[in-house]
This record gives sequence, C-alpha cells and structure tokens, in this order.
Amino acid sequence: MPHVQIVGLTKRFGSVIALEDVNLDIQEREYVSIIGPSGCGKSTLMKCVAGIITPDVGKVLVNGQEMRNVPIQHRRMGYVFQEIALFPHMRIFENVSYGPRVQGQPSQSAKALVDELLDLIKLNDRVDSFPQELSGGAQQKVAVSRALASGSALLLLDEPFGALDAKVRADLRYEVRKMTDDLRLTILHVTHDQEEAMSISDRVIIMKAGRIIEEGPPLELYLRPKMIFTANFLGEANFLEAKVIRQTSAGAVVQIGDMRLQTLEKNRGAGEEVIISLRPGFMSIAKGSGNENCLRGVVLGIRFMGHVVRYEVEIAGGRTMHVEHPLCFGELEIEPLDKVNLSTSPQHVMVYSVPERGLEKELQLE
Amino acid sequence: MKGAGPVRLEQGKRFDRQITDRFVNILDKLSASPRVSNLVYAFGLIFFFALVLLPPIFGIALKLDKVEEVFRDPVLLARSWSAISWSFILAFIVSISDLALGIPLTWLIVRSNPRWGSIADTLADIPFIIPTVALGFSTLLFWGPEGVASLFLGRALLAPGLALVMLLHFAFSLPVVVRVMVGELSGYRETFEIAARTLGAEPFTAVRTVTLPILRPALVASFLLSFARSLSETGATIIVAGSFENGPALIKNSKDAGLEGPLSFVSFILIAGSIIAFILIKYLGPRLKLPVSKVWPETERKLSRSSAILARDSVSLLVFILVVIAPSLFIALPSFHAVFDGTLKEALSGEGVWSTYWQSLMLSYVIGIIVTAVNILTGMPMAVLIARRRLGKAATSVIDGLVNIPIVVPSVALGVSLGSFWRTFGVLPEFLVLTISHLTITYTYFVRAMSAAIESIPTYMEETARTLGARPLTIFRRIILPLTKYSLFAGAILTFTRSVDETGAATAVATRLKTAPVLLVDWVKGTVAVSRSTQSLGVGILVAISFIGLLALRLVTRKRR
Amino acid sequence: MPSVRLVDIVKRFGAITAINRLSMEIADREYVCILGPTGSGKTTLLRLIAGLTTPDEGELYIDDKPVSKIQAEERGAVYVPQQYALFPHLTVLENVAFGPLAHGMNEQEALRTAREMLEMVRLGHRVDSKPDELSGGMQQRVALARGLATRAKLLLLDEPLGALDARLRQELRYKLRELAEDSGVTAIHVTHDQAEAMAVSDRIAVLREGRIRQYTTPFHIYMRPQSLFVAHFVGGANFLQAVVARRHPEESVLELHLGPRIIVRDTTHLSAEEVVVVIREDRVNIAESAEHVDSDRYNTIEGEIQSSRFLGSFVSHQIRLVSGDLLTSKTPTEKLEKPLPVGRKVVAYFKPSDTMVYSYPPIGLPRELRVI
Repeated sequence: MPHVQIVGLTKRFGSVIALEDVNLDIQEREYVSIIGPSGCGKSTLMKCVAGIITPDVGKVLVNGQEMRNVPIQHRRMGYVFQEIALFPHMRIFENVSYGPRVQGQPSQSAKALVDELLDLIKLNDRVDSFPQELSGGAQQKVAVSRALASGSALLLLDEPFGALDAKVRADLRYEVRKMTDDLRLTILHVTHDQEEAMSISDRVIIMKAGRIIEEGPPLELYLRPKMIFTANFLGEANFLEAKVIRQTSAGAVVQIGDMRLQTLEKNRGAGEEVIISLRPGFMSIAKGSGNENCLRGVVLGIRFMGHVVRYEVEIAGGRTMHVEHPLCFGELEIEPLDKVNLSTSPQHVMVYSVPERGLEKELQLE
Repeated sequence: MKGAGPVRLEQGKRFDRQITDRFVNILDKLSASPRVSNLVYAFGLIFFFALVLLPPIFGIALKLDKVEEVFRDPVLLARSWSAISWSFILAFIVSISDLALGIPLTWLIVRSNPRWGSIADTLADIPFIIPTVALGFSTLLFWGPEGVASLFLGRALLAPGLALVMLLHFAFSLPVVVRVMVGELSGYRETFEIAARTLGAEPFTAVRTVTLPILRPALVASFLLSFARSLSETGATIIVAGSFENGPALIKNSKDAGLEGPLSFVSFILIAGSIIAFILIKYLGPRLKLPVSKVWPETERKLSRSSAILARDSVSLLVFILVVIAPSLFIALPSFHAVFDGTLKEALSGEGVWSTYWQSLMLSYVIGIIVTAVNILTGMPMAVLIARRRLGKAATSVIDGLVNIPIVVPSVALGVSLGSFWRTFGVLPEFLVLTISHLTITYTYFVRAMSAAIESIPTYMEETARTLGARPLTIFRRIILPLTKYSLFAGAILTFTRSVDETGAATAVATRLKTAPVLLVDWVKGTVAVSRSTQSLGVGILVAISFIGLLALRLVTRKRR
Repeated sequence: MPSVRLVDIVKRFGAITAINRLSMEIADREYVCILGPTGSGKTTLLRLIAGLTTPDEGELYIDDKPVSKIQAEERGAVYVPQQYALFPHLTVLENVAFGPLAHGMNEQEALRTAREMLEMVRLGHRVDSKPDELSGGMQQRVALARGLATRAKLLLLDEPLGALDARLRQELRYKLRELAEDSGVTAIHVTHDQAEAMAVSDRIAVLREGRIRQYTTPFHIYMRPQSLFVAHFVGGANFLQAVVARRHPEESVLELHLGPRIIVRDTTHLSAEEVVVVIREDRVNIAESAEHVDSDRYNTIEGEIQSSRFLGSFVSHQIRLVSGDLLTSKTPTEKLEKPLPVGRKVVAYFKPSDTMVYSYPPIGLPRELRVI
C-alpha cells in the first residue's frame, strides 16, 4: 500500500514553467484528485510521478524510496491515459494480460488474474474482441483493469473520462471508485471536471499555473474556500465588490451599494475594501424588499434547469447575481421584473481581499 | 504570411487584377456545378488511363509474337529465366537487408541524440538525390582498382558482378526505407509505447511488441518501395553488372544485340511478375504476424540499456557510412580532379563529345520540366479524387492501387511496352515517346504526395468552408493549396529529379535521342570511348545540379518539421 | 413561419439507419438543442440540415422552401464543428472575413464586418493572432464570430462546448445563448450533456437511434418525460419496479418488491399490470424517522443509507429500501451540510404527484435505459 511524497517538484519547458515547487503528500489508500484549468501542470505532475517526465528539481518518493533513477517500467504504478491507449493490434485478453506477461509471470497465474479483473468490470464475454469493437466507456474500464493487472497498488488516472459522454462519465466514476476501494489502492486522479473530483475523492488538490493553490476534503473546499480562485473553480459563485463597515466578534458586516450583509469573517478593518462571494445555491429568493440583512434587486430572467430554477437578478449598482433555487410548486411565484430580495446565512458569505491583479484576471479559467 | 491572399488593406485595385478577379470569379461559380467538377475529374481519369496506365501495360501484348523467338532457342530461354529470377531474388534480399539497417537507423534519427540524428537524416537523403547513374559509377570506382580498397590491397576489392550489384541496390534503396519509417515514427503516438512501459515492459520489449506491430503498414510500404526500386533500376546496374544479368541488364544487352525476343519476353514477365508480387506483398504483408507473445525479460532488459543503444547507433551509422555513403560520394574525388586537369575547359568549350553531353543534359531538363508541369495539372484532380474518395470506398482503393503501378513495374519494361504501343499507332516523334515514358514513370510520385497531403486536412475544414459560402474552387485556392503547398513543392521536386534520373525507359524507348543518364552509361561502359576524367566530370556535373534539387527539397521539408 | 422543417427524413449508411423517419420543426429565432448519446444520429441530423449530406428519403425545408436541390454553399446555414475548424494559416481577422468574402462582399466591407463581429465576442484585441495562439474558449468565440459574420440565419453547432474544460463549459454556455439571441439567428445546438441542454434551450429534442423520443421545452421534458429513456437521460431519475395493486378513480396503489406500497396519481394502468415508477432524485426526501413525516401527504418507505456523494451544490444519498430497490435522493448542500453516514436507518418520502408511471418495457428495464 504505497505512500507517495512529492517534494519541491519543478519543471520547465523552455520558457514555460509547468511546475513550480510542488509539494504533496498522499497517504496509503487515499483517493486524491488534482484539478485545475488546462495548462495548470496537473498532467505534468502526474507524468513526473510516473517517470514519463523527469523533473528539473525535486524528488518523488514512494514508500520512502527515491524514484529519480528508477525507470518507468520499474516503478510499479498503473497509469490510465486520457486517450485510452489500448493496444489496437491485441485483443482484450492480450491487452489486460500484457503487464504480467511482459514481467515474466507464468501464463496460468496471469490468466487467472485477468479473468478476475474482467469479471469485476463484467466484460469477460468480450475477451476476444479488439478494442475498437468496444464502446468508449467499456474501453476505459479495460484500460483500468490492464493497469491493475500489472500488479500495482498505486493507480494514476490521467483525465481518464475525458473522451466519454457526460452520462457515461458520471456513471463510470463511481464504478471506478468502488473498484479501487475494493482493491485497497492508492489513487492519484487528474481531471478538469470539478464535479467529478468532488464526488469521489477523499481530498482535492487545486492547481493553477504550476502551483498548488489549495487542498482539502471536497466539502470543506466547497463550503469554505480559502482562495478566491478555488471559490470560482469548484462551482459557480457570485462575486461582489464590498466594503467592510464594522468588524465585530460575531463577524464583519459588509456593505454593497446601500445593502448590508452579515458575515463570519474575522480580522478585517472598518473601511477595508473586499470581495465577497456567494454561491447561487446558498441564497434564498423571495418577493418584496426583505429585511436589513439581504440584497435587493429585480428579476431579469428565469430559467428552468430541472432540479433547480435559475434566477438572474440585477441588484442595485447594476451587478448581476445568479441564484439557483430548488423547484417548489406554488411556494415561489416569481416572475421577471418582480422586485425580490436575496438572503443568505452569514456562514455562506465568503470574504476575500481584493486580488492584486484584479478580480477578472484572478478568476480566469483559461 | 500576413497579407497573403485577398486580405490586403489597399484602396482600389489595379485594372489587371480586376480582370483576373473577374475571371477567377467565373471559374469559381463554374466549379460549384457538379457537371463541371465531374468533367475535371473525368479529365484526370481519362488522362491517367489513356496515357499513363494502359499503353505500358498492354503495349507489350503487341509484341507477343516476338516472344515466341525465345521459346525456340533454349539458350536464350534459360538466360531469360535466369535474369528474371535474379531480378526478384535480388530485390527481395536487398529489401530485407534495407529494413534490417533501416529500422535501427530510423530509431537513431528520431529517438537518439538530435545532433547525430539530423546528420544521419541529411545523409540518408544522399543516395536518393544523386542520380543512379552517378551512384553506379561511384560504386564501381569505390570498390574497384582506383578506389579505397586499392590503397590496402593494390587491386579491386570487388569487380563488377552480383556482389557489386547487391551493394549498389542496397545503397540506393535504403533512403526510401528511411524516409518512410522516419515519417511514420515521427508521427507515431508515443502514448502506446509509454503505456507498455508503465505496465512493466522494458523499452526494447515495448518497441518490439507494441510499436513495430502498430507501424507494420509502414514496414510493408517501405519494403514494397525498396523492392520496386531494385527491380526497376537499369543504368547503374548496367555499369556494375559485368557479366551478371538481371532483367534490366538483359533487356539492355538484348537491345544492343538486336535480339527482340528476349527483350519482349523478359519485359512481359517483368511487368506481369512485378504486379503479382506487388499484390501479394500488399495482401500478405499486413497478415504477417510479428512475434509479440513471447517475452525474454532478462535479455530485453540488457538490450534496453544505454550501452546497447550506443552500440546499435554506432554500428548502424558505421555500416551506413562505409557501405552506403562512402561509395555514393566517392565520385566527388575524380570529379574534382577532372575540374583541375583541363577537362572542365574542354567541357565548357562544347567541343567533341561534350556537345552531345550538353545537348543530352538540355534534353533531360526540358523533359523534366514538361513532365513536372503536366503531372501537376493532370495529377491534381486524381489526388483530390483519391484523397476525398469521390468515387466511393471500393473504387477509390482500386484507383489508388492502379496509380501505384507505374512505380511497381520496372521502368525499362515499361519503356519497351510503351515504345511498342506508340510505334504501332504510327510514327510518333521520338521526343514525344520519350517524354510520355518519363511522364508515366513519374506520375505516381506527385499524385501520392498530394493525395497524402490532402487527406491530412480534416474534411470538416472543407465542410465548414462550404457552409460559409465558399465554392469548390475557392476552397481549393484558399484552403487546400495553402495548407498543402509544402507537399506540392516536394512532389514537384521529386517528380523532376526522378525524371532526370531515369535510365531504364529512356534506354528502351529511344535510339537517336539520348538523355543525360543514358549518354553517361555509354561513356562509362565504353560504348563511347572517353577518358576517365571525362566520365568523372560528366557524371560530376549531373550530380552537382542534382544537389541543388536536394537543397530545395531539404529547405521545403525542414520548414514542415 | 417555421425556419427549419424536416419531414420523414431517412438516412442510411450501409446497413445502419442513422436517421429513422424523423420529422421536426424549428421556429424562427428559436434555440433548439438536439440531445442524445453518441451514435444517436445527432451529428448526421445537423449535417443533413447543413447540406453536407443528403437524405435518402424525406424533405427538408428552410424558410418553407425545399432545399434538396440547394447546395451547402447556398443554404445560409453555417456549420460549426466541435473542433471549430479555424483555418490555421489565416489570422483571426482573415478567418472571420472568409465567409463574407466567399459571398462576394468586397474586401473592405468584409474586413469591417469581421472586426465588428470580433468586437461583439470581445476579441477585437486579437485580430492579428493565429488560431493556435488562442485558448480553447477564444477559439470557440472566433468560430462563432466567423459563422455569424456571414449574416446566416441558421447556426448549426456540433458540440460547441465539447472541447472545453468542465467549468469553462458551464460559464460559456450562457454566453453562447446570449450571442445567438443578440444576433437574431435560429440556433440548433447538438450535445450529449443534458445539463447543458437544459440550461440554454427553448426546446430540447431527445434523440435515440435516429428517432426523436420527445421534443418540447426543458420544463416538460423534465416534468413530463414521455418515456423511460427520456426520464433517464435528462436529469437524474429513480426507477422502481412495481405492480398495480388497486385502481381508484383519482389514484392507484402500487406494490413494490417485497411488499411496501405507495400511492401514485396515475390511473392509466390496470390492476396486476407490471409498471415502472419514476421519481426525480430531487423530489425524494430523507427523514430520520417516519414520525416526522405526514403520511397523508407523502409516500414513505424505510431503508438505510448505502452511500453518499458530494456534488457541490447538491449532496446525493443512495438509500437501500426495504423493497430491495436503490433510491437516490438529491438534497441541496445548503439544507444538509454533512452527508448522512453509511448504515443510518432512514425513511425516504415523496409526494404521489411527483411520480410518473410507465408500463414495464418488453425488452426489460436495463436494456431500455441503456445509454451506450
């Protein structure tokens, strides 16, 4: 049950800094996802762990052993590629048994192992097919089995579901998580899909421009993101410029236009300019002007999204907010151009310092 | 780059540009009509069948009566069969050997140290650009009494004969293998190999069990091209053959002796045989099973070590330089010598044999230019037809196969057949028949280069352009041409150099007119008596001009890479 | 006057029928999503409308005129493939000016139009860049600007957001819709992502194996799916197998596997008939015990938590019911901060009016729902 340490990893490609001083500790049997926008370095990090890329500076340790001089084929890590990479000239059986065969295992035990793994993903009736004859989802499951058959307890998944339909992706990720739980593996999973990462990981690592920005359990990162980029990347958020009016022991009170909101933020000074973030799903919307602790505005548009109704509300000062409310019949009869108020509980108002580079640049997703 | 095409920010237009724009506009509207585009494709197809394919294949049928002569003479018959068999055996041995050296060289070029790699890459083009006549002469000298070996032995290391022919063929077919393999390996998705390694495979095992099987089509293709080149080459073979006879050598000897029988017989068998061999290899090749299930972890780990790779690289480079490059470049020495010993003055004066030389050179280049221009015009519609499968999958693969025939069939046999075809239809000037034969032989190169380039443009590019309102001619001018221009230049250069290089068909077809390579064969074999210096300079000048072609090709393809 | 009309379109590729007697109408300036799994025929449909391929049977009308004889260049329907197809050798400006120039506009006007379009998508500062210098989202905007620059009335988008990261997709889809609206075009947007379809379309056409299964507003697709497949493909749904125990004039009583009974508003199925009950995941609630639930208003079934998944704005619990079925319940994260632990005994409850009942499919439920 491997335990992986990444220490001070840095990698440059020409003038581009792909990784800058990345440190990460992955416990045994932990399922860790690394997410971030394209170009953030997550794939490069993964490839350094696997030995496909050699870092300029830094170390990768597996169970305390330094991996620098260990070539790819001796690192005993399963790797699943985004492009699936099943060998097109070999049947499913030969693909999955490739690892054991190539390591010199006797064919009997290799066959038993392969049968077991294919049984787990319910594809034993396709052993004689070629990869091209299977659907994308099935192919990727085979790729996972192939990686596992080579005998590793550490699995690296590099955007494994990128090439698949949304629905197939959504189902497959749970299957894979269950498989890895049953087999007691340590997983490193790279993806750009934040919902995917949050739904199956023990811990989520957020990367941007070659650095780790923030990390933590999914729920914690979602509810209380410490960095403004995390707040925007892990799910939708509304960002407003505000000013701190009062800092009390209960928390700071901020002012937006002529509206006020109570927060739980500590250690701010009166008069300080801040950015607040509110998730669309954490606000309640009601007709009328509400009480003191809310935002007032006018409904610009309403969209039925299925499990929620999405409201576009223009609040005083010309800013647009998005609110998502679960569908409740008859309880909310709001229509466009209605005057509404948006309320939220103080714990859901996140407060951030104004970013040096400006808000727009800081939030940029690509 | 910016400002290319119609996007120029200038006010007003010049009058002549207005006229050309109007003209192009009319053509553009015409191109949208299916009738017009069908006409263009039909033109390409008719040209191909009527001029390029059918005459050489069926012309030989008109000579079948001559074939009977051979059957009446057992000695001639035996000689003919021997020559034919040797052609095929030689081609096979040479191709296998070329793959054996070509594969490690490819790895050196693509995967090893970039500096050595690009040196090897450049060197690999040399035997391809140097006209085969020059290669033949250079090889003869290198291994002969005036060559390197003489420094140690005081006599020739290898006299003209089978061994020398084998080395020659090995040398000029190797670049074909390297070109194809390097192209394929450079474009190969390394993910497969890396995946194999993450599963525990040593690099050597990964290449053997995953990369090579996936690259099998390229292996088959390079084998085929190498095979065809060996079967076909005439000029250089004649120079180094001595008393050995393969098909082309026998045909030339028969022609000189006035023996129509063996000439026709061997041509006929060569045409039929090469087509059959081509089909067989194309069919069996992909079915060839490479050994992927057996693994030898210990041995393969050792073979993957950097010391093993160094050994592989050094040995292949050494063999390559000693057996291929040195013999090919040897001609430079006597040529330079000839420059300074007064032969150059003679040459430039145009006196005596040299006037014929310059005329022949002129003839070669004029034919080359005509042939290139015609092939571009008639080959373009065919390239589009094939790349975009306009006639449906089945018909396209048949046409694709047929387009390959001019390079599959030995050019000397093609020449014989062509000559007989056109002679039957009355008296055509020799120049015309000569040009047509060169056209036939080079047709394939341009079409293949262009169709591959067009195929690499995704169809959704054209489709999107269509929905944006662009008609076929506009799409061709503004999207396809700009995106394939490097391949177009490369194809054109390839066509030109191949035309200038041609000895076989030119030998077979013409009696009065001699292109440069044919003349040089006469000079070297002694049919026309000239001094060694004259021979060297004559060949040297041809080589020098061809090197300009090499430079152009390099520049164009380097931009691509 | 409908902008696009398809009547009984059939398209075959060899032995495969990609489009199987399909008819649909798209109104002028409507934004329609064609939603379906890979291989359902959505791209083929788009290409048929664009004129890049011709139907084997059936008629196609654009603005009430039959277009079977009209080539793709003349249809005024711009096709934007998933890969954008930006011409790599032309700059952004030249790319966007391509259409107007091809239509015969003179250079100056074409370039001016191109600049206008690029300003509209906020890329005026990148006119001289080459496509490969731009990010994915920017390339997508250039592709859209290029299509709109031709003043085409019909925009055909093939998975326009498919090549982008998940989060970017979410952000840009609304901009896409806005752009189409502002330009006054009719848009047909193909996707396999139902959340995307729900977020941007006026109407959604759910396609499966070359046939339209349902074609209506997001609201109706979600609330009144006409078939099990549609219910499964759009939005998360639960499927419970049951038998009709008793029929009443206003409601029916269904018996689930192993005994538990629920009341549904459906009365179209007969006694003893085998049915499938569909309940949307967000309509299933969880209570600690049955005492907290008004059993007059809700159906209640006991079970235990099998697993929970955190999905960001929602938490989803999988409940193993006493009937043996697995029920998924989606709760807003706001309401329920900590997911319930595995093994906790709970009561799942939902309103009778939140159920939809269908006959049990002859080919069996798993095959009926199969997405691949």
